[in-house]
Amino acid sequence: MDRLPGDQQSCSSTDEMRPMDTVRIAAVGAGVVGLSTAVCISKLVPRCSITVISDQFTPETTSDVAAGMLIPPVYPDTPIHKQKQWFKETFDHLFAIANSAEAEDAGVLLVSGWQIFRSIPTEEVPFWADVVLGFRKMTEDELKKFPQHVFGQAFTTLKCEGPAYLPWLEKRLKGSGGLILTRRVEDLWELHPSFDIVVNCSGLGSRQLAGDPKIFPVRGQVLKVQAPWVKHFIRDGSGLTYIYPGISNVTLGGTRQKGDWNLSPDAEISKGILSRCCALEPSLHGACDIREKVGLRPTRPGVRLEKELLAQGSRRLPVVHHYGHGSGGIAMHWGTALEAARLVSECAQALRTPAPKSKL
Amino acid sequence: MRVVVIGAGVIGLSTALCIHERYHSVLQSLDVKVYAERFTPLTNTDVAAGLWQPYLSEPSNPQEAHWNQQTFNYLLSHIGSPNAADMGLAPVSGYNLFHEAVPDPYWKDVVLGFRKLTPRELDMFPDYSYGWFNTSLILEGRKYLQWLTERLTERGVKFLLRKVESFEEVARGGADVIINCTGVWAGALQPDPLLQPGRGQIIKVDAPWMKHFIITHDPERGIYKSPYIIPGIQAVTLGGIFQLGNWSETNNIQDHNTIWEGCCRLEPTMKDAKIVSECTGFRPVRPQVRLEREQLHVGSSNTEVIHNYGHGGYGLTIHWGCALEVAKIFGEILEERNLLRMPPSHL
Repeated sequence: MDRLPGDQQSCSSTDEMRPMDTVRIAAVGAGVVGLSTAVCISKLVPRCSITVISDQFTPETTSDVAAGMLIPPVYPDTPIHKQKQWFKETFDHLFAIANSAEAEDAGVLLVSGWQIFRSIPTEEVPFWADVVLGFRKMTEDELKKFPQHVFGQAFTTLKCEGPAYLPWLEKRLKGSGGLILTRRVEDLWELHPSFDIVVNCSGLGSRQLAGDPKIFPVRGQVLKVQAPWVKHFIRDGSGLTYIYPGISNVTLGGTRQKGDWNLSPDAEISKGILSRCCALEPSLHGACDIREKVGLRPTRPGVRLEKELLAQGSRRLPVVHHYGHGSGGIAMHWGTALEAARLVSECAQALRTPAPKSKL
Repeated sequence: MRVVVIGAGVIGLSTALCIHERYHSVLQSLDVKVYAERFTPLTNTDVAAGLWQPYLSEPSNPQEAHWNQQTFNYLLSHIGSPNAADMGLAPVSGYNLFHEAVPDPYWKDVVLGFRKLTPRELDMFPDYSYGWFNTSLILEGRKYLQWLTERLTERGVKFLLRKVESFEEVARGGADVIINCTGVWAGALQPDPLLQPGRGQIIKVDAPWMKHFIITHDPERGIYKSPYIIPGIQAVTLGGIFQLGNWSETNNIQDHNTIWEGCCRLEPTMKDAKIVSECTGFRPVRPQVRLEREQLHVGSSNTEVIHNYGHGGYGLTIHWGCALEVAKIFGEILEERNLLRMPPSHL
């Protein structure tokens, strides 16, 4: 498959479009990234039709396993100001929902709690401190609850739950005329010529669909339990142990196993998770209805958010890649979706602008 | 030594437990019985939302501030125990909202992480312009009473369903010390013009996304007359009714509407919350708690009565401090009667 360099800005196609034609857009992937991108596109791009195509839908996606806490990861390859922008846009978007009558339907809620460290972190105040609410250092009295930890941060943030949020996004999409298609896409060229632009939100699927060796799974096993008396999140600064209370269960975690593709829960790991979480919150000994879940975080040194013009012979297919959010899918989704929608809009503009045939 | 505790709300049961814990091993024999007309889930304690939070202004009796703090610290010491949830106990954080700046409360250093609200937090509550955030504790009345009942039963304390008509009747039955924890109904045993019912009505809803308490304040209307939302272990309590002198035990439709409209305005997400139950209770309102000793002369013997009632809307908040104080007075009685085998270890 011939490919033009990744930073090729032009999305011109040999198939000419008239300015008033409907641009047909396919979004591959129906996790939080695929669905939110489709919604953003439907709001931004005039006269377009969007179809979300995936073999997996909620509640079977990675986004459904994630606890959905808005505590962002760090992407080594992305400038901090960009990460902060994406996080802030996502936070603001979800904050508005949390304070509206839609909150329960959308699965969005406000949660307060503590991130605690066994040794003083190099960065006591992270880049996102002023995006979340009420960020401050924990007091000595508060730290007494965690005798193994010497430092902590207290703040209020949001939780956005896949099993409710994804259907809510689907409803929004269908409401603006978007379509949903169940199909496993093995090759992006399958979408040509039915679609004019493809947005690739396939997460780990991009290893195959985009031939990207940089994306790999970081396996996360979690327990979803009943413990309704737990009203605060508790997160160990290492990110390995966390307790995230949600609407109808509490997520206990977790693991970060690089390169592990195994989707079956491991009983020994579950025991370890429960034990570590009970050490932080002893009342969890009374937790019941324990369910094991596994998700593979689609991890990359940075989110791939860029245009690519696929070329094969005389065929052209403009693609916007939008994948690789790792552990920050929910925390960053709306900010990156807005950016992906802008890129798609640029592609649509280019298609509609009569241009000289590109010389290749 | 025969002790009869009258009343099986949080005050009666916690006082019974406190006394038994402290004196059981230092007395030759200690027999404690609880007499009450109402047991959980029919007490006023069962209606309370259960948030630890004293009134905003300093109490007229400074001891009450101390008892509140003792209670908080006692409850906090149980956080970290695997059984906390069995007690109905859990940490909870939340918001106190005001229409204008107010001084910090006297209990700001008792609760955890007390701070003022930031502008973005206040944006969530357009009707309010000032507020606090802090971490406190929930002690759910019903669960706590069940837990206290289990602990007392383990210790051999007996419970009797009985309408007590007078202290004399209990004294004649053989009680050496009577602990009067009759709450809002204390006037039936001994007239007390300072005691009045502060009727409250609450709606319990299913709103599991609510992880914070939200308490609004309107100084013109008075305490508990402004909407509040308090998450419990399973359900969320919506309230905002305080009617002095109203003895009506039935739920009132206007009060229902006041609560519902006030809370939905405060928190739009409540609109879809499912109503689980609705109840009425009577806060035993008094200018200060009556916690004192009184001697009854019944026939030829002296029966001691220790009064412990009138805890208003802060019974759960203050209960353990009061129980400790009653235990102290009880100890004084034992010393006067030369009954102690050895000094009690907990005083």
